[in-house]
Amino acid sequence: MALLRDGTGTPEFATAISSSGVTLVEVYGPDCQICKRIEPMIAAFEGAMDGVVTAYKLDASRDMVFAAQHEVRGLPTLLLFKDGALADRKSGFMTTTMLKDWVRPFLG
Amino acid sequence: MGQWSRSPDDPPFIDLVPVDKATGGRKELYDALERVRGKGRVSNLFKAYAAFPELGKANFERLNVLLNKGSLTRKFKEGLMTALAEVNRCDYCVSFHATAMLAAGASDEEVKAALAMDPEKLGLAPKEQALFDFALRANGDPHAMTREDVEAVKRAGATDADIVEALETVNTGNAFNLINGALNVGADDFLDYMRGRGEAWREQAA
Repeated sequence: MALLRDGTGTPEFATAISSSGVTLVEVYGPDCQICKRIEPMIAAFEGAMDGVVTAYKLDASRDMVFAAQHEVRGLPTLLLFKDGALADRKSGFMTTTMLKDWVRPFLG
Repeated sequence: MGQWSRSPDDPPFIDLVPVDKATGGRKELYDALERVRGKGRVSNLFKAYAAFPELGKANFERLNVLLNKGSLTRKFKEGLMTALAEVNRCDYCVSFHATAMLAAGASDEEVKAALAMDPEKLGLAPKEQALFDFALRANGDPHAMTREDVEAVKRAGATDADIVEALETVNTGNAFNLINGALNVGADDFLDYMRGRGEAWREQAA
């Protein structure tokens, strides 16, 4: 199982969500059990997308400014960025299949 | 040898008594395993369970009922347990269930699909594809499941018994993953399939 890149506070993450393309962000917390269970689903989803979607996780407890700016009310929150703007959001657990069904309309 | 994802020098955290040293209830458990699986095929999981032989016997019976009764295919159940092992990062469990998938007729590509949690590429009937995703969702957050989720798998052809069988596959996989992970129980000598994956996990964690 590949691990998700942790984008918390990194310039690479800031660049990714403000650039062209599709980026999926899992906003998580260190004590969130469901976050631990969704991470392998997102990693598998990213692998299946063959580079079309880039995925990161972001620790809300270490970047509360980002969490507040994006109105994160619960964990995990999934934020989908397309071409530098927030395109959609979900909360709670999702399988790889659910992630594909959700993101597919935003591709292309 | 413990889990490949940990230090290769770190043995299991409890004694795994070899077959030729077993006595009493432990030997009874090992004998039961060899009757079903063949001579010498006492898995390290059950060597760990043998610290509490009655519980070991009960869990072996549970596994036999799960795998040999019910209506869902062996490939579905082993595929689901392969995916759970991946979620739980249990490299011994990935190796065991991926090997069992192949023995149940799965291809290498279908094993990869299980590891990628992709039911569409597992070569399953639509009912089992739906149950695979349903079971992974239940594992992720059981209290988020709804009546509509159950109705959806029923529309795909699942019965109440199928749904319970799928959920119990999740329970069994998780229970065995936990014993192996918590006690650093490593893969059996007769298994080295997916060894590289466990070693890659260790390198990522370092």
